[in-house]
Amino acid sequence: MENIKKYKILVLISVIIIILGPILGFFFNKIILVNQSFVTSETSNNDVQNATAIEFTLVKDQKAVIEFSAFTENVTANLIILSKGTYDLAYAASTAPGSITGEKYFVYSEFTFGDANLAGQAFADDIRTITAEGYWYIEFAGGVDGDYLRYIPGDYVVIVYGTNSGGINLNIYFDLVIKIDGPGDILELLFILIGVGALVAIMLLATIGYLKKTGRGLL
Amino acid sequence: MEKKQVKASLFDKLPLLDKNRAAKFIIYGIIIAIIFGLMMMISYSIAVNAGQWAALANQDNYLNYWNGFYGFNDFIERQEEIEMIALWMAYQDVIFMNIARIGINIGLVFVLIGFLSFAVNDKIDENTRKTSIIIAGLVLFIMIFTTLFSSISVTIN
Repeated sequence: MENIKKYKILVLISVIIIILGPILGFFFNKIILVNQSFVTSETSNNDVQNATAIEFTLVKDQKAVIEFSAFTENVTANLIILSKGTYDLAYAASTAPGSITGEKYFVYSEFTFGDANLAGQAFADDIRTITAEGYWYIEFAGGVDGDYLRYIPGDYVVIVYGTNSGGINLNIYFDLVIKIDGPGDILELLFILIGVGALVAIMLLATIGYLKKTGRGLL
Repeated sequence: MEKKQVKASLFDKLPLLDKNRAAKFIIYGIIIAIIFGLMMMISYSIAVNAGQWAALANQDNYLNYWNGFYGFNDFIERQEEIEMIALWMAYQDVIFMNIARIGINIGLVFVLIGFLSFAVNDKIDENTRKTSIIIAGLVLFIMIFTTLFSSISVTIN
């Protein structure tokens, strides 16, 4: 009787582990590095030191998703991505972001519902600009080949700079969300494998235990 | 007195079981055959419907992309993943079908021994023994026939 209760609890735990797999996979699919509104000065247009810079690291087979948006009158905001080395060099020299060479290419999407021609919805570029209003969904992995991402691990910096043509207001307002691939897929697979493995083991142990207890062989 | 060594014939070596144990053999054999047969049917069904599943998953992928749940590269990754899973769904049939074939044959060996044991048991009435030997022969015939001729298939619509 005690054994039956023990096996029931073990089966319940295994089922919970299996259910947890997809849930954890969903929540850890992407790790959010940044999700906030930013205000930067118009001086960022002339000196990279004044631009908003967010560093992140990509490992092999990992990419970053950047959602860049701005909805403020007179504001022109630009987003570029540099490798850490290029950024440090430009930072030390107080280079204007617009004249930095070596921006990394990324792919951005223009979601068009019902259009199965995906070639007309995804594009590669090295800069995205928003004037007054706009939203860009950007995917970055280090480089591109056509409209496809090329995975180049390394340290990178997202830089946003711009201008405000509104006279006395010199601020650039924009929103930024940066997410990188998390361990969701591996976690999901691992939990499902552990759960199913445990269920099979419990089934075998329970059968052997029952046959031993009743003193019966299989035949 | 001189001792005579009697060599056991192949018939004597046959695992002869009592009535109860033979019945158990038949039941276990049938259960094993049913479980592996079920595995075979499920595996076949998954393989046949791999394309249907891929079509459904691809449409879901398109909807997610169009709705902006993820970007172009995630779409491509998912597309490749769907293709890989669909190929596995089709290929797993080869693995599980062969495992199931071995399992079914093992089950049928149990059934065969059970019926043969009925047939050679002189405590059972003549008619039952005759029926048992016919069934045992049939089981053996099916086993050999399906092992040697793999292109035989039964389609039930």
